[in-house]
Amino acid sequence: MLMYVIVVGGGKVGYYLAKTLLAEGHEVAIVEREEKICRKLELDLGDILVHADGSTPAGLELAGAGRAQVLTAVTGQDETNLVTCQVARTFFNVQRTIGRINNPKNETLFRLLDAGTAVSSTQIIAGLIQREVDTRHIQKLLPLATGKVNLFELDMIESSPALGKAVADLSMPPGTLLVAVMRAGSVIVPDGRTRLLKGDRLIAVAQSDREEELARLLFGAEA
Amino acid sequence: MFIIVVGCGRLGSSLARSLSGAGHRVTVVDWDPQSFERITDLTDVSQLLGTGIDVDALRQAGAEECDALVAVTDHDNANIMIAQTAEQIFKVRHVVARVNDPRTGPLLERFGIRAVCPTQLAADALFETLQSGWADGQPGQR
Repeated sequence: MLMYVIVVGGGKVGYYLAKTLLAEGHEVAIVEREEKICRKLELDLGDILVHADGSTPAGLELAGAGRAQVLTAVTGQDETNLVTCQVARTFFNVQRTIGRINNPKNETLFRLLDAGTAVSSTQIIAGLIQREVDTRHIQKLLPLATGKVNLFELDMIESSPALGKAVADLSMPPGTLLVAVMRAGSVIVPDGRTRLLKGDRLIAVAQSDREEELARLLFGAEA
Repeated sequence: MFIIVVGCGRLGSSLARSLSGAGHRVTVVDWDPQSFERITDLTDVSQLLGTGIDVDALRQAGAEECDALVAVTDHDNANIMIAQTAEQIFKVRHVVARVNDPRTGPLLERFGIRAVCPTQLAADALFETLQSGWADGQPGQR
């Protein structure tokens, strides 16, 4: 589905984001406060620049926020991105708003103030580093529904009590689901008969209150 | 009362001075260490180096137990964010933000933020002064 996406902030993130979205066929507007930046981006991106303060109702009105399916605020300032998302939702009823944040703790505020989704590059990079150094055999890949459900990656190790068992015999806890088994370079979508072997990498979905149960099932005491 | 003032510019430092003079306990938060030079003589006022848009900094300043918080940095959006953080996360009873742009009015109303707009206050005062000048038959007060 092609959408009208408003990008607030014409810095590097905004520029490449707009370019990517345009290449996918979406209609895009960049809202940028600095006139000089607007003129510069126009040379490359054409007539999609709106010279205005995107954190104000007047600025978003100018960008036609009333008909936008998505608004994303990617200036370098957390506070501007937060207020922009709030304005888009409360004044223009934009359904999907995404704000870029530097301080991962601001994610809580986004949720609390119903400002939409917060994306923290700091958090993403820290998460990737954590995965490298984490010695546990279960890794969180992706939070879904703001963390109520998570996608996990699990490595089948020698000591796993589930080793050699068929999925049907595992008695997976309610609220969890095994969705893929990666084995020797190929991906198997498992059914009840699929047996788990050493070296398998499993992809599972689990409600956040069932994570520990899932880990215990697959790794026993070592979880 | 225990009051946190976020922003130690000309306005924040003056406010801290008045509040402290009136006998209140005051903590001032600013990310720029040089800004505290404005209040070096206020020995009763606590200083905290940190940014107001950081929950940890506000908590460290005492946001959990303060009676009031005033957001007076020079960025409107930062003040709006700080005010919402104080109200929603720390449940501070009295919260006031400074906004410079008079056009933020409808936005503040929607978000339920109490604010003072120095630009509007100054414009009103200048208007009044001019008008009283006209009433006296002079182009303003001398």
